[in-house]
Amino acid sequence: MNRLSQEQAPIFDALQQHVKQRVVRFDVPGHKGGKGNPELSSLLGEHVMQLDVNSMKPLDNLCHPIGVIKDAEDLAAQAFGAQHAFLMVNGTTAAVQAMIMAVCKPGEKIILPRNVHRSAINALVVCGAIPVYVNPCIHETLGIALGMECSDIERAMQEHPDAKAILVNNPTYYGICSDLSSIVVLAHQYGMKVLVDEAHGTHFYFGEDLPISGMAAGADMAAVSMHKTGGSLTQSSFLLANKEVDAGYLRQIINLTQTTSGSYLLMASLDIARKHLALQGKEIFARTQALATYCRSELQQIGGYVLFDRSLINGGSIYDFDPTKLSLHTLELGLPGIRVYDILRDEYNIQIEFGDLGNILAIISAGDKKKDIERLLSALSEIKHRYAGSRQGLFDHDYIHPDVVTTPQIAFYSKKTAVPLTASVGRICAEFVMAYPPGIPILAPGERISTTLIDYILYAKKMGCSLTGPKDMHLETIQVLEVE
Amino acid sequence: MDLWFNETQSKHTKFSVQISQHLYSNQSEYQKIDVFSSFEFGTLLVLDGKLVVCEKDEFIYNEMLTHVGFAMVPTAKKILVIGSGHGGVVKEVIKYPGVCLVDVVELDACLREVAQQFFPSFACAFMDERVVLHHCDALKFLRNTEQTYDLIIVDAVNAQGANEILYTKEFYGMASRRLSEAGMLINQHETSYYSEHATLAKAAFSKLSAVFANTSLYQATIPTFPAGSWMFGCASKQKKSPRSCDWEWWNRLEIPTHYYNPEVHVAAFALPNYIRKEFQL
Repeated sequence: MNRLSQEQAPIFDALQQHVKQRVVRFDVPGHKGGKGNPELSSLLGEHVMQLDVNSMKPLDNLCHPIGVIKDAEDLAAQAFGAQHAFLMVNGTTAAVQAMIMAVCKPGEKIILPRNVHRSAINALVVCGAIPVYVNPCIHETLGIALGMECSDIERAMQEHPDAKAILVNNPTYYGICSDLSSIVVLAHQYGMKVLVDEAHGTHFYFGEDLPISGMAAGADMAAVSMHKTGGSLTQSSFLLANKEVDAGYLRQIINLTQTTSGSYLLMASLDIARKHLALQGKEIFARTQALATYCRSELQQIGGYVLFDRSLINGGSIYDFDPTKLSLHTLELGLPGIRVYDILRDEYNIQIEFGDLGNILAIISAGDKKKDIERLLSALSEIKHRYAGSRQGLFDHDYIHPDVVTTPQIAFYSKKTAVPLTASVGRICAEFVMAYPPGIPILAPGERISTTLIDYILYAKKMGCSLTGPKDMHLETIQVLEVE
Repeated sequence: MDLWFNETQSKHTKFSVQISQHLYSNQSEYQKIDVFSSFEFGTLLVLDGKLVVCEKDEFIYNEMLTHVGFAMVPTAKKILVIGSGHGGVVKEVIKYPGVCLVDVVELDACLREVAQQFFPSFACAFMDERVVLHHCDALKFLRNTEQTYDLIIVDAVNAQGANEILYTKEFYGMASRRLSEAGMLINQHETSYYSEHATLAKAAFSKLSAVFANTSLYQATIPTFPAGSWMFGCASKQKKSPRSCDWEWWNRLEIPTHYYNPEVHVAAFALPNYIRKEFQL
């Protein structure tokens, strides 16, 4: 470990060395450095194609790292303050699933907030674990799902002392954090592992004056989307583990589902992004925060939009807030978030991260230019002037407590039948229904369908949300269990 | 010494000017600023490699950007100039006695210093007490100002680079909100000759037309600009005809110009068929 320093990027270096050597390619990939696919080469650039190589001795093997990949993982562990780090090339989805599958066997329980990403519930379908949902509190005016209160968590732990782990979002898509340190203490008292979904929290590890990171709070594992705010390529991510985790077993779990042809483009991007953040993360995220703060102060001037900021912090369900997130509540202007999201793209050529029924989220990063920030702010000002109307008839999210009848796995693999959505009241859902993004399920397999849920789905559809998950792409019908 | 300034005017076309001296070079917070003296064209101001002011033909650009608007809005009192931090347009604007306020919004404060040194006839415009120079982003200025303007003049070449934000719907929308009912917005509109420029000009003009009820294009010949043929856009809330200006009024003012006159004004709006077709006019 001593021979390695954060200035290094072992995978990147080995790749460069490999290209320099002009090795004759008689292995996969068949495009042979791009020569076999000129059109793709001209799109991506020849250099990129040359770096798209397969595992080999000098470049190590992602499934069994003993060389440069191991070095890159060790450096990442050091940078993130973890005991172990794993390069993930199947997205943070794979990291979340590996965390859950590493602690839960079929029939075992896991405590989680209902506003988890679909990847977590997907893992339950695969491994057969039983979800114990903790009600995420709902903000009165913003109408969004928040963090979990410690008292609710402790009640769940008392009621389900046999649960193996608890999964925590740190932060939620909107930037809301639970009291992670207390949750870790509580969970460990009950002998449960703490798994942290940090898909939106990479910067917590490197910036200053930000909410606490999973590893710093003493969590057992964390799934970190390096590609979201850390600067690596889309689909690349880190899985972090602390000392109580059996790293060898975790590797075996990862290898159950992860590709054996890990992309070196993704791995090199993780390696370089880690180096970049380790060396310059503080300044990068200070700049990001300054930009987000500027946006909030300008939006205050524009008026009409309700800003998410640190004033929301309440010591419980909003224990902390991620100030780099630019989340806005749009309903006061009589505009659903999804509408603002669409207008921004269709009329102003500005793509933001998401719009849901009541809010929008714009991702701010050190890569943003000041003039682009001005465009976003000005477009939001224009939208307010041109489109603001009455709030009447517009609704927020309302947290609908799920009625879990059976496990996601049993529901998913049971005999199913399609019924019209409007005639499905009382039936047990056999598939996912979610608005994407944010990708938090409205319905998950094994949950009873209620009138409230159907109304919510129809309303989201009417407002133009993209509803994903169901077998029927238009969601006219929904898959339910044939017999209960 | 054989020193040449090259500007890539289209992907496959270069424009070269022989340079007698490289007078100034500085990377400001926003752009690379260079000043050259040339044998043929006098002093040149180059921003990020693009020629923006040329001593020998600046009068064409600055006059056509300024006087067309004044002739069509003779009552113009409050003027907003976006860009033109060197004062090129400002020196034309202050020729009108009826003007009582000229807000100039320019992000890069270095330009004024450069103008003071190399284009003193431009920079002296800032000494006029009606002129207020604001060093801030144009979008931010428009968002926060409560002033209403009779003329908004957008002097922003390099529409594909640093000034892209001045060709967006959000910019036009906010400018329209700050424009008086009888007022007019004038901007430079690239050339329609090279396809890269034409694509940009078309997109900019369609956004302008989506925001303003009345829009039209006019053109002028500017030898050192790409293709030598340059367009300008004008937009207003009320319908205005380039032919029905009060020329008696304008002539009475005796504004000194090198290029602009009432005949040139009317003729500038006559567009060749290829431009009409391209812009569906």
